[in-house]
Formats: sequence, structure tokens, C-alpha cells
Amino acid sequence: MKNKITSFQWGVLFMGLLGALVYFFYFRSLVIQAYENMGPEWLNKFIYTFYPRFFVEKHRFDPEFFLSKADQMVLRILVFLMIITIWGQKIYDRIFNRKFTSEFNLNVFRWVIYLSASLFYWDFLIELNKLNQIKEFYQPILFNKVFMTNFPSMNVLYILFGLMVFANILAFLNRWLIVFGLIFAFCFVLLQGVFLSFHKIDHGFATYIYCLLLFPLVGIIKKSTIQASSDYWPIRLIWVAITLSYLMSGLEKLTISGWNWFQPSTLKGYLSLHNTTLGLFVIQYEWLCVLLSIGGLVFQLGFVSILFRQKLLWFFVPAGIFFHFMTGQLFQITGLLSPWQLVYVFFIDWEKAWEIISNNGFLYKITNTKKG
Amino acid sequence: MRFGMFAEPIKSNNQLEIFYLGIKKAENVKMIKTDFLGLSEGQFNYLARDYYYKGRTTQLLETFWTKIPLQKDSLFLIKLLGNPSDTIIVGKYSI
Repeated sequence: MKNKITSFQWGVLFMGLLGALVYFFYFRSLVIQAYENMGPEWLNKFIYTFYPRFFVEKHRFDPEFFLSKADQMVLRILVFLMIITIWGQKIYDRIFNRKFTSEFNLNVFRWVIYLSASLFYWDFLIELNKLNQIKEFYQPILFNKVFMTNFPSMNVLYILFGLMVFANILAFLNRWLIVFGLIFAFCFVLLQGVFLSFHKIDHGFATYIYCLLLFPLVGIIKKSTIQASSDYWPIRLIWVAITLSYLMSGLEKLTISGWNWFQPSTLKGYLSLHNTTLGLFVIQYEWLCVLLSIGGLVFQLGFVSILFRQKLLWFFVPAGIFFHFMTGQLFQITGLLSPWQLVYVFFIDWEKAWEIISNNGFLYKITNTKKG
Repeated sequence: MRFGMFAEPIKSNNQLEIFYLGIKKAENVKMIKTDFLGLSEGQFNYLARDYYYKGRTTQLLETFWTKIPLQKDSLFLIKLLGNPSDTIIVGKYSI
């Protein structure tokens, strides 16, 4: 089928190109001005909102680093718009118009993400109480800049936490999923925001939060209108969000570090800073450092391919679990169960797995398939 | 303590940077463990780093002065960069 590009798509691409030109001829110079504290006030406010650490990080890097970072952001958006314009419809069809889940799977997804949530938030109140002792240092980020401009009183935090637990239970029980799922996601994001508003920002819950925000949309699908499993589009959106997170991480490495990423000295440098037992072992072998650097990058850049070839899940799901396990061991930055691994639940066809297990046993099935 | 992301080109000199809070009473100087302040090591370092690079070290020490229920003559913010010989006192506060 011929891929017809509409005038709207051309318009979007044109606006993107225009935006890129405006950036290169005007906004690019502002990056240097901001670096030298010579930028206009609105620019400082903009950076403070979207990249608050710039004012600290600039002491570690020269202006060229930030210029290249800004350049590649603009280029990435432009390339994204070009891809969407030219192949948007094809990509959409490949991603959304196919069988990928069932009611059975939705139940498993819901049980897992809402049951596991308590593992992540059980100590929130303990941690919030500690932060309350140093609330003078609270500096809200993004979402919290709107809803929590000052560190809230503990009573407010108790209420918010209670509401979160309440919504979590009801979402788990599939009661008004769209309402309680979103309330739960909202409270979780807000409380996470409090933790990240003390200057240390990390992305430990990034993909998990995407799932929390998107999964409740399943609640607006009318079961009576479902004709194909492709109607479960929120799940497919979750796939897109997770895979794009990996793709962006991979691109970030490639565009910022370039070929340096593949030099053994890069991984050796990181490992020596983290000083773990496994890391110190790996440092001794340069070939292993190169292999792990390549492997990590190939995994991150390649994960997105599961959107187009579902069979690749057999490789990427175990590879991803291994990737996060190794990251935890080498850098000591996550525990045994990382939220990044937990969201892999959405990639598994639990109905099929259940069928295989319940249908006279897994081994029996394999043996008979071979005979047949 | 590593700052920044894996996507940054490694420069160990400016990525390995550790901050400590020192307390002085009479002639005794000792370092304060970050959990005594209700913070993890990571949280304290990001916090100290933010205040240090924005030129607000005195404000940081002033706030901690009221938070630390110990007898003290002065508080110090100490920065260790790379190796022990690069240790410098970057801020001091006393009443």
C-alpha cells in the first residue's frame, strides 16, 4: 500500500524545520549566554524549570558540552518528526493494528503493578518524616512546582499517602480503574516528586510511572465494543513508552559520548568510581569492558524493535532482565527487584504461558510438539 | 560518589567529588555522618554540591547549624576531589 503523506503531516514537518532554523540562528547563542550568566531572565526561568541542574553541572563541563547537548535535542526532535511524517502511518499500523493482549493478560498486569506498588511505597512515610527535618532545602521540581510549592505539612503528606493506598487497593480490585488508577498515579508521582526535590534527581521509577499513568486508560475501553485485541491500545502505548525510554538512553550515550563509549577506559572509569566487587573484577579485562559497553548499547538501541517484531521478545526480555541485574551488581544502584524489570510484565503473554503450564504440563507440551 | 549520567564522557577528576560536613569543638574536629542529618550520602552530596556551586555554602551551613543538636564552635564544609591531597575546606560557619 502506498504511503500517502497528508498536508497536515507536511505542515508539521515544515514547522519542525522552521523551529530548527530558529534554534540554530537565535536560541543556540542563548546556551552560551546562559552558561556565562548573561542570558535574559526568562531563559534562566526556563532552564530552572526543565533542567535545574544546569547551574551546577556547568561547573563540570565547558560550554561546548551543553551546546552539543542542545543541538542533539533539536536534531532528535527533527529526526523524530521526519520519521513520523514519512512513515507515521506505517509505524502506527505495525504497532497498533495487531494482536497483542487479552482480558486475561490485563488482569495479570493489573495485579502485578498494583500489588508490587506497595513494595515501593511502604517506607514513604518514614522517608518523608526524615525529609521533614530538613524541609528548608526543599526545591520543588516540575509537577511539584505546581502542586507543592513549599514542603507540605506532615498532615497533608499523611492524607496524600492514605489516599494513595486507598486508590491503590481499589485500582487493584478493578473498581473504577480509570479514576482510582489515575489518583494512585497522581499521588505516587507527587510523593516521588517530594523525594526528588532535594537536588538528587534520578530515574529509578521512570518506566514504572509511565505504566501507572497509562494503564488506567484501559478502564475507558468499553468491553462491549472490543472486536480485536488491538483495541487494548493503552497496553501498546506502554510498550511504546518503555521501548522509547531505552532508545533515548542509547541515543544519549551515542550522541554525547560518541566513540568514547566503546573505549574500555570509559566503563573502567565508571566501575572504579563505584568500586563494587564485580566491577573491580571486570576492570581487569579490557575486552570485557568493551563487550559490556557494546552489549549495553545494542540492547538499549535494539529494544524498540520488539514493537515491529514481537518474536524478538524472546531475546530482549531476558536480555533486559540481565541488563538491569548487571547494572545493579556493577554499580550498586538498584536492589534485586528494579521497577525497570518489573514493567517487563507487560511484555509477557501470561494467557499463553498459563495455557502451556496448565495443559498437562510444560514438558509434556514440548515433547508432544516435537513428536507432532 | 559519581555525579552525572552514564551518557557523559568520563572525567574522573570532576566526577569524583565528595563533600563532608565537619564539626569543630575546642580543638577537636570530626566529620558528621550523613545519616545523622537524616540524609543518605547521595542526598547530602547533591545538596552540598548544589549550594556550593551556587555560592550559597554559608546558607547551607547556617541551616545545618540549627539542625545539629551538638555543642560546637564551628561547622565546615569540606570538599574532597579525586584523592585525599585535594581536600579543601570550602565553607565555614560559626556564631
